[in-house]
Amino acid sequence: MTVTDNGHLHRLLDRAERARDGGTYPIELFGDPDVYRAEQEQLFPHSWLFVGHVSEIREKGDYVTRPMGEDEVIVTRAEDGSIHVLLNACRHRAAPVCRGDKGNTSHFRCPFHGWTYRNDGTWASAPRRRFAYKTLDVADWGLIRAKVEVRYGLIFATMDPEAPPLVEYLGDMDWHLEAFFDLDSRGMVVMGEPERAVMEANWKTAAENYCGDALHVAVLHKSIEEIGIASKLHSQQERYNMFDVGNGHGAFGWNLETSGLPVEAPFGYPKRIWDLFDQSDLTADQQRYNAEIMPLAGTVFPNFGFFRGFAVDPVTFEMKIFTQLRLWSPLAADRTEVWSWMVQYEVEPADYRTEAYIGSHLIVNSGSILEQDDFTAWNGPSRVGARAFQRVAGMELNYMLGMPGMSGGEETPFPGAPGIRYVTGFSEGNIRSFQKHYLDRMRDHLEASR
Amino acid sequence: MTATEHDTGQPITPPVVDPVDVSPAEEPPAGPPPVDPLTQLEIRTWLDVESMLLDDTRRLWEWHALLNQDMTYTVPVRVTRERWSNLPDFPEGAVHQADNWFTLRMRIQRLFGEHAWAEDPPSLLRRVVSGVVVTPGEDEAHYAVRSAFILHRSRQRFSPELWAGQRFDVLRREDDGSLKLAKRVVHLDHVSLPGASLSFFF
Repeated sequence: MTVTDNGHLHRLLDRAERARDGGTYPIELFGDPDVYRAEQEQLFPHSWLFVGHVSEIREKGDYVTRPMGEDEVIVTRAEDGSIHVLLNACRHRAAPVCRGDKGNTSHFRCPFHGWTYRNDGTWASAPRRRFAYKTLDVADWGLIRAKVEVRYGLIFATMDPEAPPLVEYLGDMDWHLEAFFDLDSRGMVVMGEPERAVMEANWKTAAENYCGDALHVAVLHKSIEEIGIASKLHSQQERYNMFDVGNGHGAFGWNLETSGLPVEAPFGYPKRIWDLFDQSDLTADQQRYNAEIMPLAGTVFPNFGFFRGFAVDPVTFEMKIFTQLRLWSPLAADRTEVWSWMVQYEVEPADYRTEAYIGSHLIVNSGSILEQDDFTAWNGPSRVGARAFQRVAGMELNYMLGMPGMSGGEETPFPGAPGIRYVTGFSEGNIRSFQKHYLDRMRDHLEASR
Repeated sequence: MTATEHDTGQPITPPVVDPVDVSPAEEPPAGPPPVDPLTQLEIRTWLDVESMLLDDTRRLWEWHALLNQDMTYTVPVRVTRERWSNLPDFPEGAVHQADNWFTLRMRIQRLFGEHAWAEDPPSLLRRVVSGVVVTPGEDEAHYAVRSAFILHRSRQRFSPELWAGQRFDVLRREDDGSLKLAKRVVHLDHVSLPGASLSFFF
């Protein structure tokens, strides 16, 4: 299946490619329904997409339902402990075989005609099977399955059976993910349930924010200074390190040591928690990267984000460190379902984990005092980009921050860490790389679909 | 869910499900609740005045004055369950928001500051609270109050949002005779929130 107007898309991608070299980007890419359709048909099916965390499906038979692009899949733990990602559609008439968000079951039975599947997706039975389906080759009629791989507890899946292995897709990002997530060899656990909320914005605006928008912190989130839960945000701007990791992935960190916060260990972990971590899975380079860079947020192309933040205990002033997983699940050019998981290290004491989880809700997610402002600010590109005036005017967005001569931020390697590093928060280099990768992939897939 | 019923011909027996699995409070009994009509009227009026203060974002400090200092305000996360799963719709400990008197004060402080963009300009809020059921609380000073609400939120150029849910409150009679909110648990009728900024209160 191809999109209706390839010529229009090709011209737009060509224009974007030319503009990008000068640090600008057509706003239409965020609002045009044809672009959105092309993403759904060409980009998402060939990408590795985040679908959940291993701790959500710990026991045999556990399942959760999740989006992959616009599709719904079931992520299961089968009887042999293996993980499966299955399209939630009966092979007979495509009714959903699973209707809960999560649970535990050995089988999924379609309510329509009763076709039944094991939790590994294989076809199991149908009503009066020996009479009705004498010669059915059941091996052909299991649920449609995605390719699945797990890294550092994160479950990724792709619809494309020809997709490269996840490690190859991640490229240098694998190193950064390992450093960020493998702080303790015993792994992490999802707290509570993931939150879902619909925001009026394009998914790429959120992905760009997590891969490398340090500039907005001191401006959009100024209210957290007003109420005294952060300080000196503006003067911290140049304390950021941005890593353009390649393949559209990016991460950035903020060394908290000059923040005025009670920082006892990397990321602001209290020493009593930091000392519990068994970091034997990390190399010396990764440990030094964590200590000096303190990675804060990142994007795995296209729509997975991660963030590590802190809540400060109002009585003891102890830092409660939480880690957030994010999925920007596309619903339309101007609508995205925001998924948020909070994960803590299993080795942390249960009360610390709970306090960090509860405290995180003031800082991130829909109920938080930071992100409710993000979700309010992000609607510009999709709203304006869908309309006439920007088209007539040829309006482009400005991503010039950190370009040569603009604001410093020269490339400075961090020994042992892969990727290009910019030692400044005044850089949109990560976002420009995300956009370049996006344009390349869109073009590849459009060419392939001709 | 079992797979073999077709082959064995055995009847399916639904598992036993606890009918009160979603409620933090006792289910009220059928029939007239044992709280006197004047107190019920007082509590309904209290809720109406509270709604007025919550909808008018300039009056949130007046709302905050109705909160008991030990109070908690919780919005748990709902998940879709199949009917016979025998698992809670609101899994323990999963929240959108978990606040107390102190953090609510912090939120209101922020909203009254210069940089609370989610509420500047303020949301236009209008709620209808109904289905009020008052039952006795843990002692004579406490009442368990549940109420249903529909809340319409309109903001600038944003699409309007319609929120629905049920509140499980504990109201406490203070020494001066006034009623204060001692606990609120908000059960939203949404597994995916209709808007991404919870910058208002239920």
